[in-house]
Amino acid sequence: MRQYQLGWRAVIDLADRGYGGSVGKWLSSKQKSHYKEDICISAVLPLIVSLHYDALIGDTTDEIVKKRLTRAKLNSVKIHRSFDVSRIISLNGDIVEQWANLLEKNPSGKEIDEEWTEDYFVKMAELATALIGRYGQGFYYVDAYPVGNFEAIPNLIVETLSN
Amino acid sequence: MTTTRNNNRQQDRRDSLIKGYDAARMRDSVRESFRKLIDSLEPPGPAEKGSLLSIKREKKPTQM
Repeated sequence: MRQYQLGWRAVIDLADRGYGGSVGKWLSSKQKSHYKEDICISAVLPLIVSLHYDALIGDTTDEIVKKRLTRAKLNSVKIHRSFDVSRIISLNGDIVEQWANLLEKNPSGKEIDEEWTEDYFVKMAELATALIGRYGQGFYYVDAYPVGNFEAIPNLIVETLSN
Repeated sequence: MTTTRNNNRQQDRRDSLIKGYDAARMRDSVRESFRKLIDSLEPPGPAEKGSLLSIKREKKPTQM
């Protein structure tokens, strides 16, 4: 079975652009795949997305952008709620160990102080979830178009979407 | 002996068809549920172009 994990950037894109974004197009497409597939999220995803929106809303003074961010934030809550419990991946011992490895290796290649945002540590937990996956198989990590920079994360399989 | 083998083959074929049907049903149900979800999202306004992902966050001093 092919298992996907919807990443935080994918949720931001889906919540903002719906069918018009790369993730909405991918999710609503009829894929001619013979694979059984499932789509999950990490239990820490709502926290990452919420912190991200709150930071952007706090940064901007543009009322139009603020309104757009607020709409997208409310949409993201609907997205989180649509996942049943079996598709929300909690942190377990293996994931926490992988998380610690990622933090120790500091895959961004930058000093923690330079890269530090309040959600940096949580994002690493999300990526650790993708690496460990479930049923002994890592997830295909779904990212929005254009893809983020995940090259520094060893063994992470990113599902690349076209716009 | 031959009958048993034929029965086994038929059973395998049936299992394989069921497996294929289940896979297609699961794939379709996952996609279908997402289509319903996307339909329920508040759509972007006509003036909203580009992606929110292109907005860079301001770096703020760490607060511990």
